[in-house]
Amino acid sequence: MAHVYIRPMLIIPDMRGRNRVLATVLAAVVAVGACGGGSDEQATPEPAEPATTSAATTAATTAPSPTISEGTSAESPTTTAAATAETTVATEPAATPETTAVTETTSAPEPTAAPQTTVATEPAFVPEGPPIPALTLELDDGTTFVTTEATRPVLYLFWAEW
Amino acid sequence: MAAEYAGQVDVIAVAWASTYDKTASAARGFLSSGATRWLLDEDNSIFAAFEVTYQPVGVFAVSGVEVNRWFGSIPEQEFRQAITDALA
Repeated sequence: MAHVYIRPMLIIPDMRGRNRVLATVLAAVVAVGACGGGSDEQATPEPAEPATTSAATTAATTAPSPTISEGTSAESPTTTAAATAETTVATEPAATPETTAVTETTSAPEPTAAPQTTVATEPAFVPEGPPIPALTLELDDGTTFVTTEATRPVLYLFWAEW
Repeated sequence: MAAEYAGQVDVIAVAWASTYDKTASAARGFLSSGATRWLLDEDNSIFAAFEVTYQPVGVFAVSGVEVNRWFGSIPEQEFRQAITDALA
């Protein structure tokens, strides 16, 4: 920065010799005073900002290349990992319903088997004996009774009026 | 007893060949409850089909199968037991 203030003094064409040296020294003193005595407070921030900016720019400029290249390769593993996680997650819930379904399936046949047993038990009461003859009887009340179509037990009474 | 088991057991009285009037008259006295339906076996074909050669005979049928047959008078207790077994 001091160099910036000194250079205009050196450009003055009218100064020569001793005056020129004094002017240069005065300019330097003014420049140092304007800069705050060359303290570290201002000196540090000025170069630091560009340095930081340049570092950030450098980082930003440099980063994209490796980031893209690495990011591309990194996204695949990430995606793969995510997919693996999803697969794992999807597999775990799937196993649970299957187990539940098996449990339900196992419990379901029990009630079904019970009626079958009951139904299988009922035919055991089918009476044994000779089949009655298939006849159509015209009864006194005007109705017709078919012996083979009876829905209830039937008592046939054979009798005579004498 | 036919009235007692009405709705659970059908009672059909098959009368040996005779005149209708005589059979009907006897039925009114013999089957007074009205729960027993009867018919006249004019040619004795029904007796023959059931292989009944004399009377009285009782044939108890369940699901189209003859499960019991009584000759002569039917013991009430035995008859009730047969019905109970059939309805069980």
